[in-house]
Amino acid sequence: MDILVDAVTAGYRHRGAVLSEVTLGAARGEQVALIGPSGAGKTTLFRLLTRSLRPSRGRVVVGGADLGRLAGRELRSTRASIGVIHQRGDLVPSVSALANVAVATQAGAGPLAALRLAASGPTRDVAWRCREALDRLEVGHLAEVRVDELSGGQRQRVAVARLLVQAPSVVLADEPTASVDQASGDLVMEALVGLALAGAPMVIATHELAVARRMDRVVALADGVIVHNGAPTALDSGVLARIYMSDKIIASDAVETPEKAPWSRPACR
Amino acid sequence: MGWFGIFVLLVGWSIRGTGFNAGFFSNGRAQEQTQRFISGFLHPDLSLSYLGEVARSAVTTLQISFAGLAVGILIGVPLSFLAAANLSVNRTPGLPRWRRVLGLMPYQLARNLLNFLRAVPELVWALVFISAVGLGPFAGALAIGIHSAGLLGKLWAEQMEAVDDGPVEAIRLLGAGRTALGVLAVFPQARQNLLSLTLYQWECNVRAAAIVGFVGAGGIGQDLDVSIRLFRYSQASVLILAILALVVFADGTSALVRRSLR
Repeated sequence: MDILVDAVTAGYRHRGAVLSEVTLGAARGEQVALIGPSGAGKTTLFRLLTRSLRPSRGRVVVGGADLGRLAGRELRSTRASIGVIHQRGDLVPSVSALANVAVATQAGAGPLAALRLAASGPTRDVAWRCREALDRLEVGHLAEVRVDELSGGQRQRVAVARLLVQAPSVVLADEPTASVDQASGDLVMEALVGLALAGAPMVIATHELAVARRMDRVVALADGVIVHNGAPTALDSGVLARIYMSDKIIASDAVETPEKAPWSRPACR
Repeated sequence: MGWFGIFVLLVGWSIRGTGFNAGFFSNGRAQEQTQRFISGFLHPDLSLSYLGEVARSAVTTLQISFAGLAVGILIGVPLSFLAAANLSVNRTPGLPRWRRVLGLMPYQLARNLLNFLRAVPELVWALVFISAVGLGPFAGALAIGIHSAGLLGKLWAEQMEAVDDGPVEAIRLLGAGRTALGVLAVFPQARQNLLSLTLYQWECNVRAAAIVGFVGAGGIGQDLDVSIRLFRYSQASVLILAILALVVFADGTSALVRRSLR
């Protein structure tokens, strides 16, 4: 099991427990969708998986390493192997797309490497790898453009290019297609699924049932506990009603799910 | 008693305390002294030899301001990275209390040191360094440098803390340590403002470099002090104009550089 969340209870000082006794795993190459209403604990689970939050009980194991026991260089090196993508990309706005992607190659390589990158930019070899990743996301022509001059969809593609260059062994995607157009969303998902097919377990938090249905497994959180853990085919209207209670907007998504997305598994193989 | 009453009381108290005397200027001797002063100022010494001396002092003042800025950057910038909470404090929720307290120590130390450096005025630092290294511009550069370090460090730290946290967290999650976060995530976001603040600090240093001369720390201020003490008001007049020109030059240069950085 490459990701293991073992009987974890976690929360925040002023909010109390957000997750209670949550157990969840993802094997090598497995694609897991994490669904649930807002406030269910999806983001908290992601924060646990990156050790941005420590559990009050239980343990979180990623790639064989118990995150709670890691500190300093060990923690940084484990983090470097976890690829995280958020809804808004989180790129440095005042530098070029290429510079943002190049950060993935040097951020975890120690202070000298970071200083060298900041002072003189990426080496020719690194720049070539970054351009290749940007090309794959169809934003290669924007490599030298400052990120704050790009559209939301283009930024998200650059963020995914950074993820590709990072070549993580675990992928965590927090609503990666929520604020982008269909074309960008398809490219983003195609790249993420590609990483999973290469062996990285992927957990993707999403409000889009169309995305969830394409994964190997769907885990649903509600009020901090897992209320569903099974195949996407088991997501019938009864299960959805239980997960989302009266959230009609999300439930209606289930009806509008397209039959086939361009990034779906058979197309990628 | 309202606010106005309190204000009137404060003014009265201050006038008494400072020996403020509006009638002083009606005194015949005082009028004569003032006239001499004003006449000296209205007839500046524009001889070439004196203008050459003033130019040399003005250059020394500029050198003090630059050297002071360099010392300020050298000490203040590294401290600012420690004094920026987003770079120096581990804010992972759920950390044991002792680790949180221990982790806060470099941040608190850097903040307090910066407060101390900036709380002591340049003039006081100048007196301290004059007793340490002797009279002259070296003491002035050190005094301005130390005070600048306090100011620059605090301003840089606050500017760096104000950057968008999203990219910082994203790069932290790529495995970045503090240095990498500072140079790859925080500095690029704050660069424009940091450069602007540094230029502003240089402008302040030019003014300060003229002032520290009054206690013997070299430059144009020292010449002004001497000429006023020796009642050479026609020379003092030229020196005051030179200080004005220096400040205008610093403002203009700084504005020009800022524009080119946009």
